[in-house]
Amino acid sequence: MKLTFKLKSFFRKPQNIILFVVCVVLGYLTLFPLYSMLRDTLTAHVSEARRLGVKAGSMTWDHWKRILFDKNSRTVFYRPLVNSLVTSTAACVISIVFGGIFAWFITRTDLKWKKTLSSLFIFPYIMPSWTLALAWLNLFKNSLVGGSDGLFTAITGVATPNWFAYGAFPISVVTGLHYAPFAYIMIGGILRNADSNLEEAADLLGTTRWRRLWKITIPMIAPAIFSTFLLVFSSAMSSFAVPSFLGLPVRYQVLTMQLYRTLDGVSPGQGYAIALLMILISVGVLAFNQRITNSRRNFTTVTGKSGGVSLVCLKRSRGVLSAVFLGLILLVSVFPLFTFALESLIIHPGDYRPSNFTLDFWISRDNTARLTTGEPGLLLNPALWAALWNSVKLSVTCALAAGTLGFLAGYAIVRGRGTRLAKAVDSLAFFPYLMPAMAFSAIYLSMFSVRHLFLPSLYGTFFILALIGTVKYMPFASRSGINSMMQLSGQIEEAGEIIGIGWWRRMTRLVVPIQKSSFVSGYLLPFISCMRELSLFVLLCTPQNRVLTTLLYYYNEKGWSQYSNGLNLLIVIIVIVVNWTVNKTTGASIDKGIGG
Amino acid sequence: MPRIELRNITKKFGNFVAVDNLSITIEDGDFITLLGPSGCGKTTTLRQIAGLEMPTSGEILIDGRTVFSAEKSIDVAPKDRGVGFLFQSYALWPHMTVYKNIAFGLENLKWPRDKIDARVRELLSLLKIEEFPDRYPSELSGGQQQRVAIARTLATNPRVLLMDEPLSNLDAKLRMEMRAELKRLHHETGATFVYVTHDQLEAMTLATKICLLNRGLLQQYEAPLSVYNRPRNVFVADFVGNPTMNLVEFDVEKTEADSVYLSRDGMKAVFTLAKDSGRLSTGDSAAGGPGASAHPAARQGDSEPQGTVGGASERGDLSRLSGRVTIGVRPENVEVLGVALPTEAEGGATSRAGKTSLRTRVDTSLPSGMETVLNLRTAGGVMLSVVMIGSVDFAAEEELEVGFKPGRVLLFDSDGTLAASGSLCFE
Repeated sequence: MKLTFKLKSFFRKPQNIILFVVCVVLGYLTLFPLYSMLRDTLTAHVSEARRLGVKAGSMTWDHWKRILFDKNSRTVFYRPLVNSLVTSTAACVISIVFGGIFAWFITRTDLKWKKTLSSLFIFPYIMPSWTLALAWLNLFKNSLVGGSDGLFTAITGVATPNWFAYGAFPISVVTGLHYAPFAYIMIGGILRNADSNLEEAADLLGTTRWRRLWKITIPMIAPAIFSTFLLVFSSAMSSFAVPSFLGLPVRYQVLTMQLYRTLDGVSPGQGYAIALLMILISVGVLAFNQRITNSRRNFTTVTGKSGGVSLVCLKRSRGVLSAVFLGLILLVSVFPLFTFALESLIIHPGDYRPSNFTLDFWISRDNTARLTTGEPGLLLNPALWAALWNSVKLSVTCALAAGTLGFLAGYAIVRGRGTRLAKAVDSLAFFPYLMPAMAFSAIYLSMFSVRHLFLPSLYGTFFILALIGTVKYMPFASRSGINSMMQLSGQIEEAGEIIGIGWWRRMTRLVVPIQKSSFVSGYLLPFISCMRELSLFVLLCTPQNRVLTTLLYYYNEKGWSQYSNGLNLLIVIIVIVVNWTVNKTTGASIDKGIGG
Repeated sequence: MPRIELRNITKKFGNFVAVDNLSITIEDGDFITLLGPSGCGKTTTLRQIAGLEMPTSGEILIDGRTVFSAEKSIDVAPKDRGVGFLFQSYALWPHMTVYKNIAFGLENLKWPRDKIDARVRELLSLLKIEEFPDRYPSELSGGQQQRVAIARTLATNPRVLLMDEPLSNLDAKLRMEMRAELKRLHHETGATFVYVTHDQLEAMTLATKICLLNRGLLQQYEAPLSVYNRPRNVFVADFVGNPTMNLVEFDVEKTEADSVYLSRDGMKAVFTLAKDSGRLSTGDSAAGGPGASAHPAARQGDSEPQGTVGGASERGDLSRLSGRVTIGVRPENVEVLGVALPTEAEGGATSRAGKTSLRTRVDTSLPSGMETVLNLRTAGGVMLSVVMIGSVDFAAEEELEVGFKPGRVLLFDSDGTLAASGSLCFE
């Protein structure tokens, strides 16, 4: 067969064109940065040239040596590595146990208020990850490391110990709670579809409850547990805000904090080396996860829709258990918002007497006597409105771009299933998920702050924020695209093709309308993630193009806790309102995006 | 007129050969079934005709026009091949009503509204679904969905209708009904039908010709009754017919020009070439040459196996046979001669050089009213299935005397290829 003919018939299939384009574009936007990172770890930076006694830009092993084989390696790398691994693993366990138990109760028992509980349970994931960290501080901080006491001490008079207020424990708990919705969505998805007959069959054979749980239920949901583990682990490893809020007061260091220190400072090469090692760990977890889920693929056949799931009757404990869950979930999902509102209203932190309350931080026109910040109240603050506009603009752009590209990529991956190109694009599209946001943005900063190929310098532009957001959130959209296309038989489209419906019309009239809600879900998740993203933008934003989260970070650095709390409340409210509106109008939801 | 020609079509998926050098011609107005076990390449073949899949090499012609040729670099898009395709899962668009499902393709062709309406109404009544134009697919039963899918496929008046196991999702009763419906449609539309199925009964009852594939290789391409009565090899013999043909392996002891002496486990038998004709009539060639006529079906009932076939027929004798051969008898060609008398000696009644009957015991008896299927066990432990017409029943372990209808016993050589037909008697 002639080569031109082969090529022609290859590109006659739309999915192959998409795969090819996505492969080239993503290759440039993800693999090239990876390569630049690797190169930078082996190159002497301008600021290091003198110390190393070499010319800037020449090759050096110094960065790797300093991280791995130096007397300071313990503090710079190994200790933070252990801390990162410990908190990430603990967070995984917490989220899987909490989310898994909740999923079981929701799908398999006659718990009360299921609808309310289930939508409230998702809240922590919709909210910025540091929300819970801030709430933890508002509630439990102590004056041992300086500053004021939290609400808990103010009310009870009991001072919280340091291990409880700061460091590994709260980082794990807060991260675990933040990602528990992942576990709930994925494990719940399997439990909802799996036939409860499988468990009942064991009952009839006289299996004890515990044995049943260990031998039937857990193995059944094992693939979901492993997937959750992968997602939570990589997210937790690369999270920056939570450990810096909760770890810094007691100098509890994790890898991302080292990353920030080195990337923002004088030795980006060391930072990139750390980032590469982090990526390596994530890829390792991914590979392990794939091996396990592949060899256990037979379990997923269980997920065919079954007739009826018979619910476990909780009998007398029904009311109590429902109340306990409601209480727990309110504490995690709603209470933080209350503390933000509260903290944004008090003049002197730590003092909760009525006389200390004011609305000035929200609505004062200019610098009144009570405000020492010199900033107008939040709602009248032009910086806030500019950042809000910028955030919305950015999130909408990223959502549109990532959502569309991700959906097309998902479509093409499923249609081209089995080909090498499809496999390559599949991994490429997921790869940005494994890149620590901070390292990713640092490399974009160094790549695009100078002229690069046909692109002019992008530093300080809106475009670079949109670009990095799009690439970083594409995994969400491509996952949801793959999930929804897997459910759509290829014959649906072929039936159109054979009667002469063109590709564009097939997409707009058949594929998209049929999968409308998961299609929109592919946009929702990037939008929400972008609205609440900090670490990806913190290095790239200039004062001229701040977004809400970097403004929040700025307020936080300044120590204006009323502003940061108020702004946090605003971000959460915006995200929740958007999520609710989209959900009500289109039926899309983030659980469809994650793909339970 | 739409005549479909496949020339040396090969399709590989990586190292796996799905279709291996397939050449068949489907005449205008034929109703062809592509038959075979799952994974034999029949769906791939159908999809290649439609243009949904691209062959690795070979040529496809529809209506004299080359729609695919690897050598000439031609690959016509599915929509320009003038074919309709009926999917196994129906592939109805769930977000469109029945009316819209049928009309969508016509709208795409920019037909005027009134013409579309007329055509849709016509199809709704042709398929007897006039009551449901405003329903959504999910509000229809399986059979009704199937009818909508057919209507949608017929809407643009394709001259070739390709169907991929369209009835496999229906229950037994609906399947019977839809089979009759498809035969009626074939008659009324005059289109060429190509139909994929793994159900040999469906292939037998629907097709004017059966194209039987196994592992990507063409096994036989002939009218259903020819395939049934004169299977080219052991695979075809085993695959077509229900209950399946009795196939028993024997070792060749001795051969003569018109007979073969066989043995197994102490059991000895003699196969004799059918007497009336040493050579086989060449009504249709075994591999289904392109010239095979389209509608000989009515006469096919007469074409019973006679004498030698294929390779052996050219030589006209059985003396070349050796090694392990297979004897095949259709269950309806095993005759129950009577209940054996307990006093009789082991081995049956007519004892001379070759006795024509065999003593067996009833293993199971499955009467269904119209016919009874018997599973019998011989002294040597060979299982035989037998179909008796009529309402009869036997007790388990009852002893029966059976014989094979003369001229209806098939002999396959050591390669599994049909060598001859004739009679069998025992020593």
